[in-house]
Amino acid sequence: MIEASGLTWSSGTKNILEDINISISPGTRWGLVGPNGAGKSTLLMLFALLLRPTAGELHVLGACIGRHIPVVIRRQIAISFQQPRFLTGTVWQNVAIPLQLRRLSRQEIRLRVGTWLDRFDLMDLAHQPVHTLSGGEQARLQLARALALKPALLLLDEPFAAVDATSRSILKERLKSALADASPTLVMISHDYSDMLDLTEQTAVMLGGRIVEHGPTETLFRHSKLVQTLFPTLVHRI
Amino acid sequence: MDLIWHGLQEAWLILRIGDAEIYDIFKLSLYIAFWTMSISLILGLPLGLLLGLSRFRGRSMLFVLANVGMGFPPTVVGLWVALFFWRSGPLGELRWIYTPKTMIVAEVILTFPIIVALVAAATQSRRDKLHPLLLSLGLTPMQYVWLYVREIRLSILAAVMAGFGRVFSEVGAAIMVGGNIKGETRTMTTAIVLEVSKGDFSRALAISFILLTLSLLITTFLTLLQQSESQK
Repeated sequence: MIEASGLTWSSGTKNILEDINISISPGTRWGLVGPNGAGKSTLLMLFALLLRPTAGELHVLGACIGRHIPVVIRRQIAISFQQPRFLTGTVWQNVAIPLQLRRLSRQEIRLRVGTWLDRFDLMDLAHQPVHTLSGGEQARLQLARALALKPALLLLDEPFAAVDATSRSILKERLKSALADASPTLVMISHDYSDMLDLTEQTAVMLGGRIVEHGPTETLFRHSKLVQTLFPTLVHRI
Repeated sequence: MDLIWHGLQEAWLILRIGDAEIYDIFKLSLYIAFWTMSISLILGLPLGLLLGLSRFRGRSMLFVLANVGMGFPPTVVGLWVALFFWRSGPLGELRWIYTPKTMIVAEVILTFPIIVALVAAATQSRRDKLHPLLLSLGLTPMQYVWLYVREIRLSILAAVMAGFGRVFSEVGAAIMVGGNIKGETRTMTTAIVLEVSKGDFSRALAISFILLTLSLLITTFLTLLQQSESQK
């Protein structure tokens, strides 16, 4: 699904990501953890094909990422941004427009939008403009929009950051069940270890623009000193 | 005060009875405004989008030119267009001087930079947020442009309003390249100038009312459209 070797991304003269090597198999669920500025979001943007590698190789969904990225590859990827981004319009339109542009039938669009708004408790807000939504509602809408696209690769950048503690566990359950049904490959960033333990099978730890450790989430969280430093309260859970 | 009151009464009478010449002037003004705005939008919208979205050599210079163009003095534009279309000028063979065609050329030169500069500024200011979102939706290049235009439509409407304002207020270039010929190239602004120079304030006021009403109607329509869109 994703193969990166020697992947580097620079901004000006500064290397934000350096020598990233990772192989993500189809259908697996990965987590990216690390302190702020470690390069997690930049790596996710590269996987989302929103940035191009400065050096090294990146293969996503079988395509080598270079100057030209085919639309057919982009259409198999969906992302939920750290800072929610929406089109102007209603909640319904935000899920429906990307599907309309994929030329799906009206019936299919109605079915998919209805299903995903319903699964994320947004049906009552369907005709509300997106700019009136709360942070938690925006987070749910981003997930609904991403999953309605039926992506082969789902990228989530801190999907629960704006959600309060009570809603968080409900939303996490909804996402978990959605992932079980659709089974896309997942790469998720979170600063909450419980998100990682609940939703991912593999975790990569990033530091200073490099992947310094990776392995099965449970094992890594149990044994890695670095992970335990990043999540000091982790011992209570394990 | 008597002069104004008398002028207003006369103007009202002219408008009530109707006047074939004023009707022709009104029609020509609308014709010129329509074609000026259509050509300026067809040329200005893609160029504004290109300037706001792309990074290429000479882009900053084009930005500067568009911004400078917004402040072009109409009489200077009129002079240069007249020189080009003058019988002995480089485009003299077209025989466009003192026709509505040259007036449209001059108005486009004055309006087109406004559309380019305002669309480019709106496009650029939304790029950081909008570009990643639109790319992530897996759009074809045409779909990308369509959605981008949809997202900045309020700014485009503002640019159209500014463009109409320019066309309806412009007089210097219109007189210079059109000649203010009765029944041929006389527009509302040039007619007002002529009537005032003749001392016929009532006719000038009558035409000014029509111009003001037309300008108000178009701007009100565009503003209401803009506001209804902003509620979405």
